[in-house]
Amino acid sequence: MNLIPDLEKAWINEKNSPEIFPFNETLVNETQNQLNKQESFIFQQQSQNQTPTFILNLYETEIERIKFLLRSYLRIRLRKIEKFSSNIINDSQIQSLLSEKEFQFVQKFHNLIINHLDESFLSKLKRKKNFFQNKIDQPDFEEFVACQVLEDIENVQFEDQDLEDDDLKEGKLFIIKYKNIRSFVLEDKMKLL
Amino acid sequence: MNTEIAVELLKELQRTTEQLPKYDQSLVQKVIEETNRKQEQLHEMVKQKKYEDTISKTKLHILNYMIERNEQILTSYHLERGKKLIEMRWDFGSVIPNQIRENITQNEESFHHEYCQILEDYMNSLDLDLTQDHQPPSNDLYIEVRVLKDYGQIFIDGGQSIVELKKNSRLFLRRVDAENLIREGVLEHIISN
Repeated sequence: MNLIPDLEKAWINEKNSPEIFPFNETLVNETQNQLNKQESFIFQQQSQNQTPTFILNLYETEIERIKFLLRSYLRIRLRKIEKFSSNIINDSQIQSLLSEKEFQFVQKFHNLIINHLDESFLSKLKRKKNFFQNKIDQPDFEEFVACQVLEDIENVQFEDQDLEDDDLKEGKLFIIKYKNIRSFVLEDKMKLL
Repeated sequence: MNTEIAVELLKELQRTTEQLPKYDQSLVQKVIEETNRKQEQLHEMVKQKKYEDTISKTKLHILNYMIERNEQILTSYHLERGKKLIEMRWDFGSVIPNQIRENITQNEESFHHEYCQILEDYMNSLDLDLTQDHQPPSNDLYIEVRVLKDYGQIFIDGGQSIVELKKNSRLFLRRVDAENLIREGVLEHIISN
């Protein structure tokens, strides 16, 4: 399955980046398909009693590890989505990064928060204000991240750092502020570690 | 006259040694009343057009600032508590431990309940339990557990078999089946050296 390196990369990117990446729909769907097929295969083998149990257990262990990647990927995204729910609701660009189901989640989640605050105190205040305008969290692009170059990039200028030479060679490692390499990661020219 | 009362709320959250201190209904009420009083003052001044001179203008600014600050603090108080309630779903499952239950309001309990519902809907749409597998999988498909309390029967092996959980018995279960129950405190993972 060529999916696994891609899933790993998507997982690490999500894990180490302060922002939300575009949802990788094909990856998730394909992975789930393959997992289901594999699980049916094991079930079938179990009832036929042909393959030794320990081999089936090996298959099952592999499935568990892949499931872990998938679950963690989706979970990290969901927690980030919760964190930035106000931004998402107000910004259609960020909305396009979410899957259909994630978007439904965040709508319900956002409403839940607003209703809760409303019932707890907002409705009792004489002045109603759109308080979310004041207190929206933004992802912190100033964070330092570890990253690696995937393909040669030429003529690079970083805002606040000088490089030995202007070209980034494949395989080079950096620890640098996220804002500098953000576009490269999104274009898949670099990956986070 | 200042916003000191509201700050007390935040201090309560900060000082606590427990997970979640008791919701301070009376303090919240006081803050709401104080904010409304200031709002009335502001409204009166505007209505009587008493904002020509510098002193009045300053007073208006200060009143406005205090009202906003109180609103901000109330929002933070409720959101912080809300976040803790959300974390509980991920740490404990959908049942709130009794000690914490004593410290939350009806509103907060329904908030927690609704969050669980929204999360449940999302996970069902994916057919994946995201609250499982918080750590990278060990290589063990099976783990040894001790039952801490009588729990009755549970499904294991993907629904193929049933096992009875009796207090103090030791079982060899699939990690997947045992994980949630370990987190809820029904089972205990026995780590042998």
